[in-house]
Amino acid sequence: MKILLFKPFERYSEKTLLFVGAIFTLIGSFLAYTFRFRFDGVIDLHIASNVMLYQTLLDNLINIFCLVLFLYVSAKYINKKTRLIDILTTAVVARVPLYLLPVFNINDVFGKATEDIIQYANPELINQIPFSNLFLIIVFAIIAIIFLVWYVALLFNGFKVASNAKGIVPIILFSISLLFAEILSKFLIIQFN
Amino acid sequence: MKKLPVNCPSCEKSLVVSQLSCPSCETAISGNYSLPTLLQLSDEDQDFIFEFILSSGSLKKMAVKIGKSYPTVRNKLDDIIESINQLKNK
Repeated sequence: MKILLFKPFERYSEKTLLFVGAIFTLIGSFLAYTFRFRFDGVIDLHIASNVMLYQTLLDNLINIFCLVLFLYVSAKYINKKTRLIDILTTAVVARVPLYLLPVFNINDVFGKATEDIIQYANPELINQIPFSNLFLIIVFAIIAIIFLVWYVALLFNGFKVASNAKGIVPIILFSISLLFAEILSKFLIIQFN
Repeated sequence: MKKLPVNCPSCEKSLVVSQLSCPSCETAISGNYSLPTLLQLSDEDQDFIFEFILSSGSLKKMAVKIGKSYPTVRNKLDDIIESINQLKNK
């Protein structure tokens, strides 16, 4: 189970991983559209008001492209034998935890709670925020953090297997790649939408 | 099967073969022979090399056979190559 959840890249072939990743990218895009979410950056997930299916799919494709671009450059620097397919499977499979997050927004419960809280965005009203809304937001934040950690752990494990990375340098390169991927994805998503 | 010790338990230095004997006629040969590089690798690494040969040197075939991904198997081979280079440079 540990291998399936955190280290699938050590066991499964690139064909299996790519197939599972592609299916989940489609499912994730559909879930984001259904539950009104946008993946507007490689480490972003936001509740949105009007979401089109093509937008959520395009968000995910841009995010995958940005991750592959920067992680592949770093991995090639670490190990010249790194294959593009292994970085691609890492990017598509690692994003699966993020794709599951929109499901928690059943009946737009978090969207409504957020909108309610915004009404109290005033120093005089801040003490009157309903506890139920605050509780819902905190619960979602905790779930989101857990899934985000799972996502980054998968991403790093895949990167490590693809490049046979060892030591501290790959950790630094991975972090920088993720940061650059986040910046470029944000820029591209704004440009294309 | 008994594990062949390759390092001295006292000072950690590489061991050498000082005696070989025939189990049939009990003839014994004494001398000072270095252990072959392959025998100085860990059991796990030796098993990997054995499997690699049985897979006709195909990492893809081997990956399928042992239920690991291709990059995992390739990484293991790269690590063994590095270990062999270190042993040769000792």
